[in-house]
Amino acid sequence: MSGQISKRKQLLFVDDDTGFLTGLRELFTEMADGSWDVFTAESHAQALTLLQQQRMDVVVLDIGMPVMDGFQFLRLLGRTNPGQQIVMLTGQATPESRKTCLENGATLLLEKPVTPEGFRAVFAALDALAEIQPNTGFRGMMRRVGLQEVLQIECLGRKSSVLEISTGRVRGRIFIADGSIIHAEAGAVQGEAALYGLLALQGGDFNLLAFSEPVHRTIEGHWESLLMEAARLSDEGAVLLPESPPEAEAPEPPPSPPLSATSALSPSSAVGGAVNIEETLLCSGAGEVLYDWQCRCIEERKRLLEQVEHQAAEVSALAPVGRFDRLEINGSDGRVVCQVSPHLRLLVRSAPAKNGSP
Amino acid sequence: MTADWQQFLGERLRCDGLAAWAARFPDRTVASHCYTDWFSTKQIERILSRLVLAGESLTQHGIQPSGMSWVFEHARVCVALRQDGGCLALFVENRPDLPRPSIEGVLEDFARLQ
Repeated sequence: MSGQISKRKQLLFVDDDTGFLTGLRELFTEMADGSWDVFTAESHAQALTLLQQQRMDVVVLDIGMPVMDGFQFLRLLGRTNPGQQIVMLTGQATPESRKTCLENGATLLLEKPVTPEGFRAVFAALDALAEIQPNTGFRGMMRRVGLQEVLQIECLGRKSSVLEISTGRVRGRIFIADGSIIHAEAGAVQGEAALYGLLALQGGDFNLLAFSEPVHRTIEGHWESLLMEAARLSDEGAVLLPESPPEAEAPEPPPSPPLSATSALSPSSAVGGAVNIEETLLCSGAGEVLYDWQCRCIEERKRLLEQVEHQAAEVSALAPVGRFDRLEINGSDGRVVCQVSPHLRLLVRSAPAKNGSP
Repeated sequence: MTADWQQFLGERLRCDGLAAWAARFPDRTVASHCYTDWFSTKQIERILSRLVLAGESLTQHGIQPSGMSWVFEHARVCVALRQDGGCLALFVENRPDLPRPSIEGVLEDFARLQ
């Protein structure tokens, strides 16, 4: 029968009023009659955690939240979850709040319902909005860090997509499945060699496309290790992709086994499994934790990132070295990388692979 | 500064892409050299001093660094830290078209220098 709902809609409500959330969940679950999965979060941190675990069709934010108001969180989501449909809820909408919400990427601003009719109207609006597939493609200027950030966002969000990259002379695609980088190709080059080559490009266009299964899955390993290695190789100038043929002459990917990373790179660059990631912390520019994995002490690590940012600023003030990108620290027990940008702070600690590791 | 140190500074610190270097020896004397007018010796010695402090402050976070690489938009500053207080900072241009200088080798040799 046509018109059947084949996929449950995923909606997340963020509000510090527990009573309101509980009532909303019960009412909307009943009204949806099995067609919605309703998620709730009482804090921004809970909301971010849920968004890392689960793709939402619509996120509904209360404007009046403690610590970080809804406008600030809206801007943060614009960076961490680009393309996410967001609806703002407020007790009393004003022209100013409406303008601010829409300018910062919200799809709708709705007044908090208080009557049964109001709840039905909000339900209908959200139900219709959740039907809409957001535009998943975009174009923009690409820098190396920018491209890595796109990959970070896709991987942290455990998304599946294809990142298509083109410059005047090189075209390529990076395939992401459930937050893992599984394949990359640039002309005849495939696998990690293609990934590192694409991430070393200095400028071009990119499009984020819906996921499609590649012919081969050529990349394994943790995405953080892959991005770290890409940054290292790029800095060393150790990766160079051959020019792609013109568009009309572009061949299909060869059916033969793909080139391995080691066939195009120096032996020391083959790191698939050669590094053990032991700790990861990703924070927003404002210091809010977006993601952590086995972080020993989050507050202490945040202080380390702040300290590095401060020390780098001192160096930048002393000599014309330009914008700071990252600090790589080597020690006998492993390596720590601290990457600091205005919007994100990332700390990754790794240890050398033990003897016998792959 | 011993003869070995002087020989090292004279022979090893000429790599393509190396813009400047600054070294602090175990006796706390400092030497530096700029191959371009991009930096002045005063600037790089100040930076060396800051980075030595930065390396020492990492121990507060449970990190015992033997080397650091501070990567900036136009340059990276690679630092080797010795247990005896000696350290060497290499200021390397951050240009992908440059052949990779053997920076790691220089830093490792510095760390092993007697």
